[in-house]
Amino acid sequence: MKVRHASSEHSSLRRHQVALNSTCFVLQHVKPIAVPNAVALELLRQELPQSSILIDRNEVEPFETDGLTAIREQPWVVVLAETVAHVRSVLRVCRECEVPLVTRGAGTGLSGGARPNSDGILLVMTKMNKILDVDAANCTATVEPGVTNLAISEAVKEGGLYYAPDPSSQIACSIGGNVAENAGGVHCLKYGLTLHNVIGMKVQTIEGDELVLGGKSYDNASYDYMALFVGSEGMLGVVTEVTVQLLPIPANQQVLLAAFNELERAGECVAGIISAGLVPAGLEMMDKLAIQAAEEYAGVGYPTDAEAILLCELDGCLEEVEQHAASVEDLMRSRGAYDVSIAKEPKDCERLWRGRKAAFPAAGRLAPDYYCMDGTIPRYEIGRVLRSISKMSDRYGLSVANVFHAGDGNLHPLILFDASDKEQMRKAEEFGGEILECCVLAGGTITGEHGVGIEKIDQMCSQFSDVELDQFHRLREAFDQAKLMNPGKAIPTLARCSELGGMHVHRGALPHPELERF
Amino acid sequence: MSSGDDSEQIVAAVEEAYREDRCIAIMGHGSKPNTTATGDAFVCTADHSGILEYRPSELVVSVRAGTPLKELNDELARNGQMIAPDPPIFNQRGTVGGAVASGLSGPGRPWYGSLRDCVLGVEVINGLAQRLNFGGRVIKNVAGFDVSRLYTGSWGTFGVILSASFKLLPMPEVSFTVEEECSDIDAFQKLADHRRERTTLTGTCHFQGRLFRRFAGAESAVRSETDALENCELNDTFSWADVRDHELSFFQDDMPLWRATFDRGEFFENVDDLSSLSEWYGSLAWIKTPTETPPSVRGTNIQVSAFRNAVATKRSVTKYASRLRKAFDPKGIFNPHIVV
Ligand SMILES: Cc1cc2nc3c(=O)[nH]c(=O)nc-3n(C[C@H](O)[C@H](O)[C@H](O)COP(=O)(O)OP(=O)(O)OC[C@H]3O[C@@H](n4cnc5c(N)ncnc54)[C@H](O)[C@@H]3O)c2cc1C
Repeated sequence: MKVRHASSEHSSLRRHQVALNSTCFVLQHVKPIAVPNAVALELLRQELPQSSILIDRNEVEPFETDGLTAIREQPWVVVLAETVAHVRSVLRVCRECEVPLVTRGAGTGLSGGARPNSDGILLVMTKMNKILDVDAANCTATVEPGVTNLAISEAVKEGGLYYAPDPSSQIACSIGGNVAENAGGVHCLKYGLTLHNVIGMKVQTIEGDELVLGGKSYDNASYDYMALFVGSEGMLGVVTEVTVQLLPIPANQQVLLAAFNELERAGECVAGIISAGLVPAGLEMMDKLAIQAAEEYAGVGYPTDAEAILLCELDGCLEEVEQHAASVEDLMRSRGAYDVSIAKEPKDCERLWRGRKAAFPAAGRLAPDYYCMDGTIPRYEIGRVLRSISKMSDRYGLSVANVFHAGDGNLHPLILFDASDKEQMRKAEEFGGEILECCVLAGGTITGEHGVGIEKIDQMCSQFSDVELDQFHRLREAFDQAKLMNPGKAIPTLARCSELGGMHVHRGALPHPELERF
Repeated sequence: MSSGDDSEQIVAAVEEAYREDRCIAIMGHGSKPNTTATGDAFVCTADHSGILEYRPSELVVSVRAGTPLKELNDELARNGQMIAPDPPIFNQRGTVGGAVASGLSGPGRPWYGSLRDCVLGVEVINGLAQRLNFGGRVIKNVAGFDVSRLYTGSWGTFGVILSASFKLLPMPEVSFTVEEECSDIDAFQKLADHRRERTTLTGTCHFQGRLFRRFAGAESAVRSETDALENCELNDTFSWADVRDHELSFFQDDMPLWRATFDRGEFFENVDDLSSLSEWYGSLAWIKTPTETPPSVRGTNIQVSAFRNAVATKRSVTKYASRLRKAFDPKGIFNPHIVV
């Protein structure tokens, strides 16, 4: 059979990929299993169609990495699941033969969460891509996990509905992957993350149980398993069905574009809009380097002389949008915007967003490689943290382009470098780590929406204490006692943290606080 | 506002229970029904109170568990802000910790989300007497499992909540209530039409043949929407806080009270013509029964639970529920009388 190459599944997204050398990351294995297990393979062959099982090197190679391409490992076996029964068979084989299991959606994850194990099975969910039910009257849809994020909105568009969370990768990423990462997007500020929009799901555990969680009712009296599963990075079970809530497409939209001479003014303006009691549908910020790159790439009319721009989308009924747009415009001007323009026509709004959406591929043209960070900070810290990042940039001698979800305080500094230069690569990684630690010190977190995976596993030691990490491990064991699912990811072992030693920031309590770090 | 740090005493109490294999019942104000606790000892969070951090410009507040919810709401309202899911305050009492532990939301739930949706972080003491922080004070945070939201609605079975951080929303500029006479089936259909439109609807309540709808948001929008409604009248005395807190006359008796939830779009057919009040587009109903026998309600996927003056049928504990509980509380010291 033909195997679609994982990388070509999202070729338009490829520029986003990071090319850090895997030697930068000390890979962690929980339990090395020496021989890929012949019995396991035999069992798989008994239960699954032969075409679903890939084992030849050239067949499994496309699956050796996700969106974090620096980290690669060839899986022992790849299974392309087409039914829940396939998933359950794979889980059973893994359980009985103690084979590590990694679940993979579309492989667009940016933290190495879907990187396979050379002694394990990679369970690929993209063939389970049916829309099972659209209940337009009640604004819900039930889908298989391999359905792409955008496909949901496409399927319900005619009924005037859409699925709100819109990660930039939405043409490619799967809803199962969104659930596993609690994916966000440009419109989270008003409409929430995946967590807030998923109302039900079915999960298969490695012990062979099917959990039916949530559903079409509001708040049942039970533990909130869904809160635990959303964002659990494939460590607790395999999501085989997802029910989401849909929203009516807003009748009116306006997008304001404000240009600033100073980065910090733009940061203050974000805090100003939030504190004025306005909740824009989206509030995004770009710095000079990002503006110039996007403008050159997309030609949408951004002011290339500005130090920063803000894009602010308001939606709702006409009266409300008009009223709020006027307030936002006043605010932008009073907070130092030297120019504000408003797009009211759908095509003008679309044009302004096009530049923002092209920012990642555009940044890809600025340097051979870039490394996308994902820290979140309180919004009042935006100006200060951006200044710190720019100082670090001088110190490391690497440029940074900033284009991010300002309204959520979710930064995405893109560190530009050349991966063929080992020294630059090492610096880029160190720089990235320092940015994340800076976010933790500012009262924030090391990841807003991309997940920990392998990439940020060391920074987890900065954000959490040993007892907290221990609690995470106990929670994981409640669902996977043998720790076979996604081993070595998301939660570091205490041994790893103590080996790391070095700088341990915890809740702002840093050794030698008198030293300036950024 | 009352303020005090009682955390060391609380940790000490849990440590002692852990050491001596004793059980602990956790109390806030004791305002919630069905929480009459039994245990070797009580831990009361009421003295652990006060706001830890509140930056109105950030729309985030962090607050100690024993803080009276009413005091917190008043403080937020002074800044034109609110915890949008609006958890109930029964008998004029109730702490922030109790609200998080019970995870209940008010009349605006379908529009503003549930309480867990706006919980950003918690500090807790688990069954090993360890003080742990999960989540934080930022809007987006996917580092580690989402334990703070798991604690929401766990009824104290995972440990003591010491403090919590919430995402806030600006209060709507205006809020109008419209009232009309309406049978339950008509109300159901009328509300179903709302789902597919973007309106400023933020609350529904139907009882005794009358439908109340709350419209809240930008004044211009609320006015134009409510002006367009026919056969309705504005009612500026109806209190949504009374719906939330069970202070309406409907709730003012000792009859057994049940809480029933329905799937979206499922019409609640009241078989024995019991008296009931419904909220949330009709997806939540409060039902009073003359005896302690649970109400018979027709439909699919209905969950009925005893709320007041009624005895819940014993629920069986699932494998994963008991494992989760063990993961937080290996010796089973917290709220042993509660099954979630
Ligand atoms: C260009 C680009 C832009 C991006 N923009 C955004 C953005 O704006 N916002 C954002 O949040 N993210 C963004 N991402 C990151 C990524 O797209 C998201 O994390 C997405 O949710 C991953 O989905 P996926 O299907 O590709 O999952 P994968 O990468 O295949 O897997 C991600 C994790 O989910 C687990 N998993 C996948 N499917 C299942 C399942 N069915 N059951 C259990 N576990 C499962 C995997 O084990 C892994 O740990 C972007 C990525 C790229 C490349």
